[in-house]
Amino acid sequence: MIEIKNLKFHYKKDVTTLEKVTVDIPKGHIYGLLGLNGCGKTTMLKLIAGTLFPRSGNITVNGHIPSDRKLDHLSDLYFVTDEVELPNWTVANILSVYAPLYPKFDIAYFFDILEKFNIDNRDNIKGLSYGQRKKVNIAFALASNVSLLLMDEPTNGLDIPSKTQFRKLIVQHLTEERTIIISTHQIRDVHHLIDHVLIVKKHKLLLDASLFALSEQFIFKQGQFADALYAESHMGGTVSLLPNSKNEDNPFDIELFFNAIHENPTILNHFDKLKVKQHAG
Amino acid sequence: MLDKRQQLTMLASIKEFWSYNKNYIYLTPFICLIIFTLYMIKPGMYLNSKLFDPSQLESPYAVAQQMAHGYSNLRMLLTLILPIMIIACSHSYLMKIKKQSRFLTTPITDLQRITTLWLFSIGLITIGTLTFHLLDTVTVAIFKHYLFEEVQTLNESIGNLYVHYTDQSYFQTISLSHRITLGLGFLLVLPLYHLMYFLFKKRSILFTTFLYILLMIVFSYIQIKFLFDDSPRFDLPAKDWIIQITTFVGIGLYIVTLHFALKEREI
Repeated sequence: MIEIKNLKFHYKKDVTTLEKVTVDIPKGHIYGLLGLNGCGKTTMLKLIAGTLFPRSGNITVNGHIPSDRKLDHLSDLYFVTDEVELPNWTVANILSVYAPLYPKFDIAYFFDILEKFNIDNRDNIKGLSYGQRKKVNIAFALASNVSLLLMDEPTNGLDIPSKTQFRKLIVQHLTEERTIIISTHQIRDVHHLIDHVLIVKKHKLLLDASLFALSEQFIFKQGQFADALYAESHMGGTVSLLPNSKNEDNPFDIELFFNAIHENPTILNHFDKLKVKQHAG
Repeated sequence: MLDKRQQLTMLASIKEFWSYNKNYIYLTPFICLIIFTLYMIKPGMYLNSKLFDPSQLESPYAVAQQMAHGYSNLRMLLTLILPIMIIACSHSYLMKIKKQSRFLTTPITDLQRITTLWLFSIGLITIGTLTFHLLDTVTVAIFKHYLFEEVQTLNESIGNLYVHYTDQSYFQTISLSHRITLGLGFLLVLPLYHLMYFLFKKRSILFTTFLYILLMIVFSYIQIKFLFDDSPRFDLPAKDWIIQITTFVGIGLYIVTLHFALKEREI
């Protein structure tokens, strides 16, 4: 369980990066952390990981204060950064040095994932492409079986079959005891995985809602409608965002919804009965 | 004592450092050998004259002169390569500790990383010191074997019956204890380097040098003014106490400052 209360962070005193962020992230979910470039997504992941410290407010992760960087906290979390910072050793060497640091590390599973990603454990990281290095890092993260997996743009650089593999592996990885937070711009790569979205806008948490709650309130339909809250034209026609007044079942289009509330955040305010937690600033 | 978990993470820290720097460590004896060889054939040395200008050694007195003083105790300065190598190896490691999220989220404590750095530094200084001592010993043995009798005979022929060879001579090694003292001196610079690295964003080596020089000036002043003062201001036990307290305070300040510098860093 991650508890964030009144979090405020800035790199320079007069430039706010995150403010008034309050959110509880329970175990057993895959959270999508969405927002424009520079809105503070990576910063938020770093704050949860403990590589940055809140300027005010509190964060606790499974009872630990991340900024203390205690071994118990660090050995139960893995942060897949966008830039792959693996050392230029063989994959086997990386495994021999770092795997013992994670008590639940599953070596057989690691090799299994590498095989799925077509990586040989005798390969040297130096000779691998960005995407291949990313695969090694993802394989390590998943095999470490940690309770908290933070992923910053995990699908960047992955080829198409690997993105499919990635989705399968993430689904397998999730248990009631684990939390995964994925920060990404490439929402189509992960939108079937995410069951909860956090949207950051202008350094504040604009939305914290489960997809289930959102799909109870909103519906997406092909065509133009008079009561549409938002519409987007594509090659195949227009898709509109509408209030789900008849409680219809429909797949939730995160990307379109993100564009809609990004363009007009008051969409969320139109719904008195909205059962989602809003943090619109 | 370390519990099982701490032993595991300490071992991982050492393995990690070894994987990053093993090539440097393997190369240390070879680098020492190359530097020593360059020193031996530099202009003015016996081997340089022998190889490139034998006319300089035609006179037996010139050979005797070379044997007595030509080796020069300046060869001690060759060991300066060791702190340079330590800084070269530590630099990239410290940079990763300072700048990579991965290093900060790997379950290895800062104390374990610094302990690893110290173990490595002590190891490298030991390897380098022993290599230089071995090269020195072998060189002296070779020169003694081939030239000692010839030079002795020459000295006796001119009435020098009891020649004392200092460590400037090809017949006398520099004592191992002197080399160890110098090695320990290098280790004194290390805490300053670590501190400067984490306290300043840029030019840590420059700040280390400035601070080291400043400390040397302050300590020299204290030594000259108080400790080696013959006036009865301090008796001997008091001098010992001052040195011990200063050492402990220095070590304490290092640990506390480094601990906070590491704890407070953000990436």
